[in-house]
Amino acid sequence: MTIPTPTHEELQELLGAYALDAVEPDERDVVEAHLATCPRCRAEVMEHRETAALLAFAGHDAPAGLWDRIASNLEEAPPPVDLGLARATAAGRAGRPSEPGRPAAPATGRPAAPATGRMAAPGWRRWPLGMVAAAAVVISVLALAVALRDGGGRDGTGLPAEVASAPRVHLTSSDGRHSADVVVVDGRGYVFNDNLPALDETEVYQLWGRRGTTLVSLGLLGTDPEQEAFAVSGEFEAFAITAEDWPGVTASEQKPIVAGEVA
Amino acid sequence: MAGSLTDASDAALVVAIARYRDDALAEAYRRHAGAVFALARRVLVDRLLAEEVVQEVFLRLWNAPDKFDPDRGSLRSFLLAQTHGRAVDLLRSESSRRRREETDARKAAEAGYDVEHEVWDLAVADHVKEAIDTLPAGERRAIELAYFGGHTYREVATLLDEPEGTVKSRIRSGMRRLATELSAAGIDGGGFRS
Repeated sequence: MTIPTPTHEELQELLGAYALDAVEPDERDVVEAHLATCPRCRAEVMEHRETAALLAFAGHDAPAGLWDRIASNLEEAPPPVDLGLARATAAGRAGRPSEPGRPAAPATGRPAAPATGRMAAPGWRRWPLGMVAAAAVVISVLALAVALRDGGGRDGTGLPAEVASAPRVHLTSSDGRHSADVVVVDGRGYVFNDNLPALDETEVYQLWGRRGTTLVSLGLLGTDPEQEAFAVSGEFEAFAITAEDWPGVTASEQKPIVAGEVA
Repeated sequence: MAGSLTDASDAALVVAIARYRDDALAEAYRRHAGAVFALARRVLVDRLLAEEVVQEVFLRLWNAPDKFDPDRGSLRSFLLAQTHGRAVDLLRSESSRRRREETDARKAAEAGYDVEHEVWDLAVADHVKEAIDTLPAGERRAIELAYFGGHTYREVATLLDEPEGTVKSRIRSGMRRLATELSAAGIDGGGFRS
């Protein structure tokens, strides 16, 4: 069924039903297109859903054994790497799931939530797990980033002229919301941040290069990189950027925020 | 995130889930699976289907934690919205029409069936019940049929023999009234926000 383009007031009248999944598919599409551009209506839908969540809560336990079925279907995480630096910054990350018990009382009054802008980059989970361990051997933080914006300018942008014409490796998140570019020219690499969100000071962006089954750290990019340079030794088949606990790790257990293959 | 997950906020749990911490997913499950299952069961009635929805919702959180945006509400409401959407999809699918007809017949036969009986929470139940009591019967029934019955507002209009526009407005005004009442009682979305 086709519906005429509704007015803003007509759309607002649909928000309650929309939040309860009680609209027709064509109406849902119209509402969602509107929500993409109307923060006030988005806020109203969010409030309706919070209210619905209060109505929905029935406080029963989930069926026994259901967690085991879920846990058995979880995609396996990369194994932890037993190294000094890794242990110091990422201890306990691969702990086994605890057995869920009764649902806890709703949490209230907790500190503000940290940013959760982590986007699984396409193909990252397909990277061989072995390369993480291999990285432990190759460990080589080749260069802490040199911020180009702070000096060494060779033209108006501070970049060598060859960078503009060199092929770019485009790194993206799985949903396409975040991206960055990497350019390598004459043994020197450059990272251009398109829209990676700023991290808080307890974390740091870290750049990785993949060569075969080996994953090499190419350096730290800080908490809010713009354009950064790094030293490159040899060629890489792919690049990725992860967010790590400060001051970075020798082998990452994180999903990259963005990743991309060299063409 | 190296500390106890039982003290972590929901948003911090999701960050840990994005980092492949299955113990974080287990903690999220411990906190919210009861509500997720209860809603799925309430909408679908069928226990096995409800369990499938629970499994699907938590696996989806594991596989795509970035879908949760803490700026757009609590993890609880996110999971329940996912649950409700999936349950309604199943309910509206052709294969479950017959099941739905049976469900509707059973609901109709239940004496005293109303939304109050579906609300149970040690912390907020009384306030939620009081807020529901403030709703005009038309608003309450429309919300009940839409949310727990999985009906579209148009179907609700048919069931109640009311104009579609009236039902649409009642759902919205009822939800807003509930939010206002709950907020006045010190309960808003933050009841589950952490």
